[in-house]
Amino acid sequence: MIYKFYYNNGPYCIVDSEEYKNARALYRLKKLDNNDYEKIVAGKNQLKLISKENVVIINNMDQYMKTKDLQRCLEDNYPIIKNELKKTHKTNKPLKNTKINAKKVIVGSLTLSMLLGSYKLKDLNITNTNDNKLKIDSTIEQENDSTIEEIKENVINDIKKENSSLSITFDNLSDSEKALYVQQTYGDLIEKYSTKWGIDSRLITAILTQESGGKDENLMQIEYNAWKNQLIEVKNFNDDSTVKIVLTEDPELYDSDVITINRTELKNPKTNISVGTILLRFNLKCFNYNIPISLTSYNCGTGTMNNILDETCRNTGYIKEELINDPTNLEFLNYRYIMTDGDQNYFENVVRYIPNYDEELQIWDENNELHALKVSFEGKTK
Amino acid sequence: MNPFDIIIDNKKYEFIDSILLNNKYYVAFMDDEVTYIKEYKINKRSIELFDIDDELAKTIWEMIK
Repeated sequence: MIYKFYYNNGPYCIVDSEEYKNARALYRLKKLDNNDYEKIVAGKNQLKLISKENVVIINNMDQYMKTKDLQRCLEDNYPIIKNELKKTHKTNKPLKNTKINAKKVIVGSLTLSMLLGSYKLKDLNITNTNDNKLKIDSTIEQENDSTIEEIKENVINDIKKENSSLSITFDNLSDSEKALYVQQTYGDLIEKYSTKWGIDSRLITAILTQESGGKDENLMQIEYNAWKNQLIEVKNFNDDSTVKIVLTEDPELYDSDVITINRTELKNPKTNISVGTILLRFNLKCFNYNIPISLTSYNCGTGTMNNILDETCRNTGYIKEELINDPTNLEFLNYRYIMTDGDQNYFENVVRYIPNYDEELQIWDENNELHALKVSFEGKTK
Repeated sequence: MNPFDIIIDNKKYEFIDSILLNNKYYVAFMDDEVTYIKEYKINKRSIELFDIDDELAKTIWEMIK
């Protein structure tokens, strides 16, 4: 898996975590040993330290096969370096975790790489791919026509610019990483509006992750035309008031107590998440707070959802109310083939992003009554 | 500034390591005196650091060092 990160015109570095670790070990070695090592090569059974003057080969590397052990390997094999490393790391000193009230944090390019790279460092297996992989120490010079120092300067200068924006793109991201990215980027907004509109924030995070992954300005993929000029009443759980909203380009048609939102305003992440949450709530209200049905309906619309339920009843003998009143009955999932538009596996696709699946998803209805549901990884209710 | 530096309010720190634990991200860095362990979040424009309690910091330090 490869991480790319972009600053304005990037990419400046495309590297994997192994390379970061390697570069870091190299950097420390250079700093401590005063020997101008150019490269560390971790082989199957040996480690080569290559400087302009000579090549140091350390054999019997079986126990240090993983690059993450590189630094430990250096410590074990070089008593002097080990002492120096200890000094540098100050492991002898007690840890004092003092407060830092930071107004501004600037990080060096490789530190940034480590911070970004740590999305996969500990929990996920690192697999090297050869395509698009740039090695920090030498290959960047050839392929990007710039040295690490220049890259570093560019990154730092960009951070210093007020208008700089950092966007991170991921290839082959796992489900949990995608959800985590959304959580880290939009977590605060999701928390705010899910509380306001009485819906479990994990559900909104999962929907946003499935809908856009946080990568589109229409975060919740709201179909403006489908909801245009439809007045929705929704309860504000912060102050128990009722709010009226409508998506429209003609605000003058509505009373002053109606909140009107136009197409442009929907591009604002705050508005988009808020409206998406309200629309999910609208679907929940339509289907007696049945989470699986409402989720599906968020994707395909209430009309199609009713058709799916009718089809389910025709084939199974259930009564529609039975299906709606029992959120653990997922019979309708088998009859989504009548959908002409939307994602037939939407429910499963959303549920896979819900962490802590042993905990219940919680939704409150207008009477503050709790509707909770346990959902397992496979998208099956418990 | 070297590629492993972290500059916080014009003061320079050296980056030690970062770690993922329970879906949260932590970073260790140091100045001449002290090793710091902080939770961090990467936003669109910046990196935010958050204080954590000492016990957690010690646990993380044991994992990192």
